[in-house]
Amino acid sequence: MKSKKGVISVQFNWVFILIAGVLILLFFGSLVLKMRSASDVSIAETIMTNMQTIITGAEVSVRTINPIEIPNTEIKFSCNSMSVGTLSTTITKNKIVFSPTVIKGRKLFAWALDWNSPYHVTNFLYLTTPNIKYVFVNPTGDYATGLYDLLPDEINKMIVDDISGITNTGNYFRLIFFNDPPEVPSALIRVPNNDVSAINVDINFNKITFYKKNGNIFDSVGVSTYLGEPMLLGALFSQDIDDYNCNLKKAFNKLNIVTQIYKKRTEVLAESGCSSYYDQGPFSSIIIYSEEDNININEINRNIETIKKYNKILQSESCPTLY
Amino acid sequence: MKNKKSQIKMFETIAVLIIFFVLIGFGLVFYSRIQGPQFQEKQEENFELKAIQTAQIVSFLPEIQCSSDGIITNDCFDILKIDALNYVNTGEIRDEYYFDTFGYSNISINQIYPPGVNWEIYKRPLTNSKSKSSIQVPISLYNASSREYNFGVLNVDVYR
Amino acid sequence: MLMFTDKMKKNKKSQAEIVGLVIIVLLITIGFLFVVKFVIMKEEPDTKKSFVYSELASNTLNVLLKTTTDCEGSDVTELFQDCAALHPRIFCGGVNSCDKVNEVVEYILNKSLKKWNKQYEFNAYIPGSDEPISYYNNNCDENLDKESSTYYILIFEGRTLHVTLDICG
Repeated sequence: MKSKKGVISVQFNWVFILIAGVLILLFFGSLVLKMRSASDVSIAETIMTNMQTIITGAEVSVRTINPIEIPNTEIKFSCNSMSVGTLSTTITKNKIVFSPTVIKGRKLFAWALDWNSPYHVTNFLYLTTPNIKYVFVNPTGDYATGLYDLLPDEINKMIVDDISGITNTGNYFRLIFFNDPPEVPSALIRVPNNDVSAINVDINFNKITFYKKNGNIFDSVGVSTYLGEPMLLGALFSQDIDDYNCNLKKAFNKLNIVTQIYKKRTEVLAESGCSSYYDQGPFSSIIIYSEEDNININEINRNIETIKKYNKILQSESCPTLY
Repeated sequence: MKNKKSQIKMFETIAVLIIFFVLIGFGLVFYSRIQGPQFQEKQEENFELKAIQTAQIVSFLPEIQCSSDGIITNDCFDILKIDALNYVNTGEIRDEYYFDTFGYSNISINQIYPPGVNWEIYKRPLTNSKSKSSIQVPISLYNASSREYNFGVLNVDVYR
Repeated sequence: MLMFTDKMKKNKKSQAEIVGLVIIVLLITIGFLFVVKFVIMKEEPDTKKSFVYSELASNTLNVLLKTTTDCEGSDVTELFQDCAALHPRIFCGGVNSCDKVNEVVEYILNKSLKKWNKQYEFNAYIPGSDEPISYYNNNCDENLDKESSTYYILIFEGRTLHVTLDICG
């Protein structure tokens, strides 16, 4: 009888330990899970805040490349928003960020350029990672090589005379062709379609054709346009034509607003009577041709040249300049 | 006698468990007390960062920055451009573009020397706001017609 | 013998309990020290203050020196240069460049930094000379932290005028 009581007591102890142990483990387990999710949110928040600071910084300082160490998390970008995990934030209309859709890895390059037409309109921010390789295929002429030279050395870039010079290095490839329909390099035929993309730049007509890899050929996904080198570089850094076009609209909207200000300023300067070159005409044209559904690069370019010419004359006449 | 001893042992185990959980409870309360203010501090810091960012955006706004042949002068606003911005900053541009850029904030410029003119660049205060962060930045005000530089102050108030 | 062994066992148990107590006390003390270190002694992060102070000194000085005055269309830098020259030539309304530049600088500092309750020290001097050209101090103590900005203005015979603005606090 006594030994039976002992057995029950020992068993009860084990049951007790089991229940208490499970409860304690459950408690700490749930605590750890909650802490982990809270920590993920906190990391995401920190990344977002830092990215916002970087984007704002681009509006302030240009032409310097900033290598930024980032946690090994996915940062998703679109023209209007940025997200890390479950958190997302908007990229406002005044911020123009050309970037791949997903940024992965421990390093991020942020680089900014000013966009002048011919007066300063805005700054473009370019984001990329060392894993993305920009390959300029046979860049003939000063413009194409100048564009290559404009890219900072830190960016993973290379020039090849022919596509046969491209080898599979395990990167994401962005091929840039100039006035030449793109072909898939033989070394990249077996690379997944999403890891290779191309653009073809028509320098004479300011046109960019975007391509997607489809096996051993490139399929055209659309044609867009550009105004100035910084915008063309935007096409290089954009993942797809939709993101590029969205940023293009933002840029032309800003050009429209800034030009309205310059037009009004010219109107006031004209009253001073210092010169007869305070002509609002070119500004009015730029305003018309930078409207969202009426963008005309040739007309804008023509008026930019006129404004530049007038500005030089005003300078020589010692009058206040247009810009 | 042995029964009593077992009972005491059991009470002892339960007491240890209770004390254990009470200590964990204390720890958790303590942790949450620390985390609470830290979260608030972080929010406060982010808000101040936003105010600084807004001040920076205004300071480098191409719409009003001084320029000569396309070359930008820092810490300088062109008076003619400020006037023009006030003319342009209406309707859709004010309500959509600049609201998207500046959010709930007040941005104004006071000319200190020579005294006189004040400009309201953007006004969108938040009614019933919890707090306001203000930043003043000294700036040059350039008059292109007379080619004079005046001393001014850029005032940025950001609400939340 | 049995009683002795029993007593020994009890003694050992008490010793173990004391060791346990000591460990608990030590753990609580370490925890308390952590609290003191991270909660009580933690300095308030002040992003805005550090940004504003570092920008304020250089911005104010840069803008101030560029400002055009109502004295023959000269800017503050030109007035300082004329004031430091061996033979000053700028006079406006019977006031020489030294008085004029002091009047303008004092006015601007009063209407900006002083109005915003900032402690500051403004000093324009030629190294080696006894008297500064311009000196204003608004409660800026030597012991206070300072954000400083200095501009060098070329004057006569290759000498330089040092213009310094310290924002304190």
